[in-house]
Amino acid sequence: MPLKLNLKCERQRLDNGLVILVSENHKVPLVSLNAFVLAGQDQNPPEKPGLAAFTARMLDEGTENYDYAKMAELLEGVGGALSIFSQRELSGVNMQLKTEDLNLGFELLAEMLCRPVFPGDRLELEKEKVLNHLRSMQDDPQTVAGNAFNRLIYAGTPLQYPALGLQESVGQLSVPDLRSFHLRRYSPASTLIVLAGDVSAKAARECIEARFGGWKTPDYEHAVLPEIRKQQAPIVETKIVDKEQLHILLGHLGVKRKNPDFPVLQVLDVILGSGPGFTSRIPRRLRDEQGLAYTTYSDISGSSGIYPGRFSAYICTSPENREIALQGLIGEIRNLVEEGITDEELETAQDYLTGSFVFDVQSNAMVARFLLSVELFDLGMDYLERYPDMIRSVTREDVERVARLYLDTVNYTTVIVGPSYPDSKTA
Amino acid sequence: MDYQLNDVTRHRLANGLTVITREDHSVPIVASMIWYRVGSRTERPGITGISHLLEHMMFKGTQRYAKGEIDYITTRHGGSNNAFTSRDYTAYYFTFASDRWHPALEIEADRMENAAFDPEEFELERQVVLEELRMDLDTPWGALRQAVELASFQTHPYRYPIIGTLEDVNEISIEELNAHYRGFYAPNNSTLVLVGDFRQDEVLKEVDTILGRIPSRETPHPEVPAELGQRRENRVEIRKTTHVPRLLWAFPAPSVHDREHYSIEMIDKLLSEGKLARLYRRLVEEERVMSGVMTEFDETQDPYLFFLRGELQPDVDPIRVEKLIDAEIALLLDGPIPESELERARNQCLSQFLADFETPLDQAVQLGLLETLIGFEYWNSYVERIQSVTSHDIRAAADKYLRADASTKGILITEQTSGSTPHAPQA
Repeated sequence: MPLKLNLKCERQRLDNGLVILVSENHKVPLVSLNAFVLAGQDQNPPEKPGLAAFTARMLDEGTENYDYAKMAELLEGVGGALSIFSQRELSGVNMQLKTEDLNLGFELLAEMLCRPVFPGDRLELEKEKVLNHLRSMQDDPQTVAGNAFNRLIYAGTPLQYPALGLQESVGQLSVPDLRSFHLRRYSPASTLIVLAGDVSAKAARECIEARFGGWKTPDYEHAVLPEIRKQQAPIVETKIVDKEQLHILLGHLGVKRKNPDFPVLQVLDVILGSGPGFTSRIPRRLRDEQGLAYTTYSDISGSSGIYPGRFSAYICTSPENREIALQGLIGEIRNLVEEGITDEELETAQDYLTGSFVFDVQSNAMVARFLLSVELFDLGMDYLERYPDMIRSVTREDVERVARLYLDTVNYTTVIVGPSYPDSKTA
Repeated sequence: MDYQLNDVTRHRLANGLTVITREDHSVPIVASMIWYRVGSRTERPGITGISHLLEHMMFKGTQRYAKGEIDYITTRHGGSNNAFTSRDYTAYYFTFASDRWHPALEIEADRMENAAFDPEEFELERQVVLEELRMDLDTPWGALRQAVELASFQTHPYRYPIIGTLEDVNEISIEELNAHYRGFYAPNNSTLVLVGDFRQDEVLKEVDTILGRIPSRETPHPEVPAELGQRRENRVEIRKTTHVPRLLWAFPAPSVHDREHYSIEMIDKLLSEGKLARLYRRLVEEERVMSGVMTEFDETQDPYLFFLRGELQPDVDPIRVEKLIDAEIALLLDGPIPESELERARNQCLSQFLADFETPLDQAVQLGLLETLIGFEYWNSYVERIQSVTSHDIRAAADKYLRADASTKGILITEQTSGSTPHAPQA
């Protein structure tokens, strides 16, 4: 009997375009209240990397009716947790609340999304924090490698920079920058409110309508980036840092989430580099059989979104293993592309995916994330019901075809971050 | 609101194995965990890291399952598995969809008595662990934390890193590993925790059949040297290339058995949880000497540590930061804590408590951890005890534990500026 999972959800669209999704689950008296806004890094003007993330960070720093301290007092006073995020294509707010505090959550959410004021003194303080955080990130070679990789594969687009921005650009951000970004990019038409947990869909809808019904969409078009082009030649970048271990990241531009081959690529990922334990080829060969690394993996489907994500393979190893690790990573990718897969590998990956998808909706926050992708990528509310059949219908030929189509073993980017080592030639 | 875990049961099998179960039918998932009372606390110089190395070897083959087979079975059943080693315990987990979780019991039974320890696999896995250890020492916090822990105890094994020292991990023999395994991996030294979508009566019968037949064994009770206690303030300074100076302090902390445990948990929240927390407000917002600050506190068998850490803003004199922190701690001793602050900290503790019991695996972790240390009933009195902590209790706990003359003050500062040499992309 194949496992089926049916998640219930109510969807409503207000007249101003705001979409509300609610999934009830009354197990624990907690609610995850989320707002996702299409105001991510992709909306940054070319000369202002970090603006979207900074605007999001400042949402709870003061609004027309509450200053930052009052907001914190109200929310933290009841033990509510607030987190704000900003990524490639989305920014947003997540609140974890006790059911009894949900009204307060709606009130503060409306203030943050519709009426933030971005006070100058709070901006300066936040700037100092972000600048120090950017400095601190340079101490993490894996992050350094990831940033270099993005700069190369997303060259020429706002996605080439870290979402948080650069020292130079963040230092320049001003209150008018934030106000203007908020005015243009935060609107009901680009916002999705998702609730999961101990909440009544009807009551939630009424509360949201009362608080957000009057929110107007400004007269600005949502900016959509032109098609991002994949590199046409190999790129190698080496960065020497004063560390003991070597971090290697190689790959290229990936795929969009709406790509019809997405389920096939999920199967490919499990076979090549992101299955559980050390069952995938890369961790099995490089870690389990050769003892080269504690961490090594590859992935293409996981980072897909509105824009293409990345195909990347990663290993952290001792510097003397540099060549063997590099050859090992690309060798496994090449082998998959050229030699294909076995029936047994296909079945194993299918078994894994058709059993493990239930883990994606275990908690309220996970349900909210899942509903977001249903809405964003037109997956359909019956996606979880259809999922097992979708995965089961993938054939060996499908996997081999997408491997040849989407994995490039010639024109790829290699980023190496680590200490200088006698035998290692730097580019 | 119901904070009691009335539906958790404990059974003791004839061989001494403790079995904790909780039915949760809200998602079609079963989490199974096994907890052994062995960790760095039961180690001594020469074999530090042996519990962690043993944990790694438990995936490398038993009489019944060849190397890689446990991962393979997990994948074929669409599940996930992993393990972790800490000071007081080593724990293994599986999560599966509820219609296919039974292999978990067979695997844990076999792992408890039939590990194979193939010498070649052992040498390979030693290399993997050495990579893990080097990776940890290569991070700023990893190196600083090891140094601060070492300085914070004179005699107690909590002074050694859980992952072990490079020397010991290099030297541990397969005979020592086997002896450690034979000593501690016994039904009477472990707890099985099952949470999820199953019927308790059926499951208990199955557990008895599969795990009940393993004979109990006499387990060693290594004498854990009592900590002599520090008589003066320790200072640790690490020099490493870094872009941001980091501060890590450790104060003595109560064990899970101590009455003050709950007061320290409240202090943890009062000092660093949220924007209104005392240290955050003083150090980040008012004085702007740090870009973030947090405190950390765990449940442990013997008294361990209360950590305070954060990243310093550039050009800030660490002595000034030290005085500010000392002053904030002194304020805790100075006068009563306003009721609104107490209420906030209480609510934060309680929200955290609810959130920690959300997914089946979360629940299994919380139940197994506390059962291993003191008994899962700890959670039943948790809310009541947090609610009864008074201003006076907090003063008394701060006076007893947050003492400068018993603290270790660690700092990581830069050795030199990083010599990074970016290279032009190579076609």
